[in-house]
Amino acid sequence: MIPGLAALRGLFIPRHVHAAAIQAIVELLDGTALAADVEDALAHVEMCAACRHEVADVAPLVLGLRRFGAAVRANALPGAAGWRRLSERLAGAPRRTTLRAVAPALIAPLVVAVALMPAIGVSRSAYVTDLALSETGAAPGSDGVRPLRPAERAVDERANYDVLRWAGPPAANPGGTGSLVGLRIPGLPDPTLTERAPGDVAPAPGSVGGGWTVGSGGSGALGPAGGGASGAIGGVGSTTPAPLPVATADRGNGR
Amino acid sequence: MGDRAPVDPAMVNALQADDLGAFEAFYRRYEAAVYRTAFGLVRDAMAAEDVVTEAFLRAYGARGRLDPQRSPLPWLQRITINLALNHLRRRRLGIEDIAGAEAAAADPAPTPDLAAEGRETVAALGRAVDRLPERLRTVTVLRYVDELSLAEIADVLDCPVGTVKSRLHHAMRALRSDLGTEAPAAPATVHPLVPAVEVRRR
Repeated sequence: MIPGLAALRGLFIPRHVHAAAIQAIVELLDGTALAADVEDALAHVEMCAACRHEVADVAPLVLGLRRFGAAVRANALPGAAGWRRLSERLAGAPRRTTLRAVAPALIAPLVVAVALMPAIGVSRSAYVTDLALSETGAAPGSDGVRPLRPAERAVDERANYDVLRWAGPPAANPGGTGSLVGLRIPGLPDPTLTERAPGDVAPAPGSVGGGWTVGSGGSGALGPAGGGASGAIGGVGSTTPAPLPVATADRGNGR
Repeated sequence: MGDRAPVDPAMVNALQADDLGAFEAFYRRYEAAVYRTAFGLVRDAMAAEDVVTEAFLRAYGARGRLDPQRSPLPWLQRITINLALNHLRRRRLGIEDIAGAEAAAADPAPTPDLAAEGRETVAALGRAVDRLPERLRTVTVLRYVDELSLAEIADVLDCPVGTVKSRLHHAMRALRSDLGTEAPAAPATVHPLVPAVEVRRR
């Protein structure tokens, strides 16, 4: 047959027929082909020069791969110590169902949470605090209450500071918002005691309490009018001296 | 292949009841097939043993999901392939010593008859297979080292048979273009039309 003519005939054959023929030849070399497919493929290859070229390329490769597979299989023999190594690993690995694994899994998050409580600003609840105070036999707010430990005080002061910071400085709160809180932080000046509003009347010598009113505008001042109660600062619109909250300022948060 | 038969339900029950003896029997039954897959991919005896140990450890951890109606081998091979590919990625990053693996790839220690048939071809093919992309390499190893059928490869890789055929086809093309530079010696006895003669005789 004229070679050009054979190539021309190949052009009129759909591409998938060529591909199927090559695939069938490859499967034949692999030993997995169906006889009927192979008959058709061989018939096609005999009359198609392009596919003969293709098969000439593919066949050595497939046979080489089979040899390669045989060579690898010949070397792929597992060692005799495989089970011993595996059983050692199995013995060393904790089983998921044992308590040994469950107990730490339950306890560890609790420990971490408790350790992180001071860092994230969480303090003990009032209920817990009262319980702790009741251990001393003293009523909450009384002088017999156990003094705070340094760590507790640090947390306590930090909480107070956060509250004050939220309330803002006295200058930014002309209405005396700072006095809303009524807390005093050791080492910091207490605006409720050191600032005097214009027009305030100085305490008269010998008067009861000896203090003066803060928040003279009356806005935002807490506590009963006229003062007198423990912890109360100032009075609404009062110009009379109010009791100085000296004795109660240290326990501004109720402790 | 006998390994592809469903596992004995009594063995599955014993395995799920933490019976170590049953797990040893399970290991002995599938060890060779799993090792072959691992070795075909990593081509290093030590690494293959590590991969097999790790694969069975994972299988032991997941023994509760073992289905007695199906062979566990495709599942084991899937685990093994993933572990072996992870090993190859680490090796490519230089995390592990590759000296032994290179030696194994270069010289698969053929048996005497194989040596007579074309040791160079096998060595060159081994190097070319090692250079294939992971997906193509996996199907090539499963096909030619593990001698799985296309359907079995599809089962292991959890993909359609057509995908397996396509990957094998691409693997062939990649190997041919790769070996074009190395030019493996074609076996003297191979001729494209020789199989035709054999088929005609059937």
